[in-house]
Amino acid sequence: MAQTPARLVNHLFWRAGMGLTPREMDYFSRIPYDELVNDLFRSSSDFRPIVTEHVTVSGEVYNAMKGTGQFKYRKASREAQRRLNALWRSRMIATEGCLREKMALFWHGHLVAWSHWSNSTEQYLNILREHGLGDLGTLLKKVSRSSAMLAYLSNQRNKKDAPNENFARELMELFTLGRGYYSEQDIHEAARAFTGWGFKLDTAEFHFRENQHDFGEKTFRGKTGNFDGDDILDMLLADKQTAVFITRKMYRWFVCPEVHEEFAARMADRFFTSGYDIADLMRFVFTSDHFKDTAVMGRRIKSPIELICGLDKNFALRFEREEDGMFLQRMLGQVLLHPPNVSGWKEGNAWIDSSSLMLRLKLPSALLNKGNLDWDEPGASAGDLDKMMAPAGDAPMRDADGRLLRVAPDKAAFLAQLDPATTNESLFNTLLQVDASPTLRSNVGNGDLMERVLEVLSSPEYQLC
Amino acid sequence: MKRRDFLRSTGLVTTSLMLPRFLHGMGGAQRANARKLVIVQLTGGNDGLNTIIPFRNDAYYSARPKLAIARSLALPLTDELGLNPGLAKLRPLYDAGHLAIINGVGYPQPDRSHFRSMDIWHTASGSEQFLETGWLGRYMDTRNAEPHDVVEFGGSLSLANKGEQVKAIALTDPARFYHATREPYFAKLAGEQHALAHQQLGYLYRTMTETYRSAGYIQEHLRPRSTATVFPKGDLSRQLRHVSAFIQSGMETSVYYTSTAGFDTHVNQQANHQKLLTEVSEAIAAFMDDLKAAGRSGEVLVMVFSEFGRRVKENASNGTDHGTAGPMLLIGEGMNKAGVFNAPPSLEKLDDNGDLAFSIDFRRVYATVLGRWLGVDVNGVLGDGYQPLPVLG
Repeated sequence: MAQTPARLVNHLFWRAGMGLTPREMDYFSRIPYDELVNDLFRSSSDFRPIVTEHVTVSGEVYNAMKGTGQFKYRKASREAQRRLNALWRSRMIATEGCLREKMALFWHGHLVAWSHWSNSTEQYLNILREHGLGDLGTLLKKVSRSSAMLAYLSNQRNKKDAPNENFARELMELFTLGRGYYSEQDIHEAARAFTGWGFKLDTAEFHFRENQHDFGEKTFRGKTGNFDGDDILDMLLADKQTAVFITRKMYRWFVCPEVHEEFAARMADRFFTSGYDIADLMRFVFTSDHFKDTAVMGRRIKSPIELICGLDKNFALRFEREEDGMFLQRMLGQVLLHPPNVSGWKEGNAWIDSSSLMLRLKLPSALLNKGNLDWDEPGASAGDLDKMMAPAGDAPMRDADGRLLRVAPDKAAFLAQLDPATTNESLFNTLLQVDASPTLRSNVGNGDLMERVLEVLSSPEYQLC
Repeated sequence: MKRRDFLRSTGLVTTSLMLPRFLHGMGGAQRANARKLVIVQLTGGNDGLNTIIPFRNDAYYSARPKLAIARSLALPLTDELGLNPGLAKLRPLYDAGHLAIINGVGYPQPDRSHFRSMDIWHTASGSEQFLETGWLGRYMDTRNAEPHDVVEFGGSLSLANKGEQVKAIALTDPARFYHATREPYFAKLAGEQHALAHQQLGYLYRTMTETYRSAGYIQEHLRPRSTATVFPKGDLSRQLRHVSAFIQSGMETSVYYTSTAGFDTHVNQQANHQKLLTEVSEAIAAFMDDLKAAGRSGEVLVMVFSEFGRRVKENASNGTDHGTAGPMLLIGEGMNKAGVFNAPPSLEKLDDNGDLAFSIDFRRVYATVLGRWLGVDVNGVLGDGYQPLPVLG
């Protein structure tokens, strides 16, 4: 006897993870919902860092290297970045601990930073993973001190004599208050407070350069004092607008793209009152009746990472070359650890346009059925503000069969979880988070099971979770 | 009753519906526009002061001891202004009366965020106004257009090209775009129409149907270029070469959207900026040459813009930070008033933030290209009050 309806089980694990396999779904359906939520938090309680070998060299040594030396070093760093991407993806796919990774993915799109040095990337990624379910204050302070962020938003260049406002502006516009709650003057003054915050090039560790810090008096949002960077962060957290701004975004991400104002306001109250306890907020969301309402299910257009991980989880894609995993992400418009710009990925309908939708519909057959992915690499679009940061030179070649991506999926393991006599109706329930449209119903045929699975996966419906 | 009126009167959320436009067949109310507009977006905030150089202005040289372009290097256009040497390829177009430079283009209460300022340019909104449709999207809406009326070259679609009812086509390579849409299974899914109450699902099905139809149209009409012009290397050049093929094929697409990035020159501007401008000018010059060889140059107007200019003063990293107003370029044979259209903004009378004050609202330039080039009702796209400039007749 099912304790939790299948669609609700799937709903929880799509929002808190990367979905479920049919077997997991059957198993979890027999467990009461509140216990499932408890398990979700319990299995995400311990933090294991993602580690790859460090590619470390001091700035002086690097600068002294000539052409090929620097090239080798950059290449090693790029390879380590690819490994970080693959390692993080494999953590996301595991159901055990999936909430920790899903939270880190959310924060990756919110507290956005990027570095082309793998040791900085690794540091940043592990901060998001370690503190993504902790408290926002710690997370924000750690990210603000990370070498990836200090470099990405130019704070390494923020000096007393020539303040650089890049970080101060994005901190308020994108990370905390949102637009309209601060002035240009606040940006100037906050930038002064962050002067001297930098990092050591060889270790990527935070380094406060006292001689470049402006110790003078600053007036920030109506208060005057000898503020430093932490004071600014504390003052931003003390403003409830920060909770309002962030919980609205979390609502759209974890619950539904159309904001339910009343529930979002309750989230903001809860988050602010708890002193920004992220785990407390997420538990509040997942156990609410609002979250369990069918009206919010299947409303999220899967991000490329969700689409890829969902397929990978069920079919063990097994990329033959590490770079193919990155290439696939780039084609679909979301490369982990390579955000398009400081505002992160535009979610929802923005994932979908003429070219990306056709690619998504074609993807399952290309990956699972040796289909040919006749697609060129989408270049950066007008919306991508920094094309320069796209990883270059990683595009794989087609193999002898003309395949662009070399994968060795395990279809048998997936099919073994389904009853051979599975009806189309039952496939819809297993694979989709929305009711199948009349169009899909009339076009999924009566071929063999894998063929029908592919038809369901290649549908607009499968893009939703 | 027109389709738009019908949709309005039902009070339904239009995006949640499968629109019955496919029943109208090709064209619908859309009239093929003999004139083509080509947008070139310089992404990242192009430094206007080092693009159109005020080479007699002492304030320019004192604000930029390291980055100012020396008077001897600027390519003089007037007694006061010269082109960045990277724009040398635009000089013949200027001499022929095919280039108009509109200085000091911006908007009130300028926003220095890339994303916000780009959204303002894309949606043609005011600084404190948030619109969800783009100006070219609304242009398509008012024309009841097919999605391929506007084609963007790139991996995803910009906000500028998203209308309430019509979204433009984004593609990188036309042939691959077509083949991707021609799987038999997709043809079946795209061929059946049902009204769907689920908002996101309706959006997905509708996008699929429109993509299928537009890919078919492009495939059917696109021919290789008949000209032999050699286009330089580079992404913008590749995009413009595709645009030329579309235009030479007599495609009914009326707006082409291209872009190139890297203009956010906070550091080491000397090395990067001129190189970027060189790529832009060489690509545009090749494009115009190619169209001329095909006998099509009279049909095309190119408009170059960036989301903002940069600070007057250089920063401590050999770069410039986010600023405000900047120049826009119009290129084509149909100029009413070619050359330097207006005086550049004063370097003495700066705004409260020490930035250039704009003298021409960018929406007046949009009004100019919409009204005087594409010949559409400007108010329907931009709202009231934006007078076209006499730069076009």
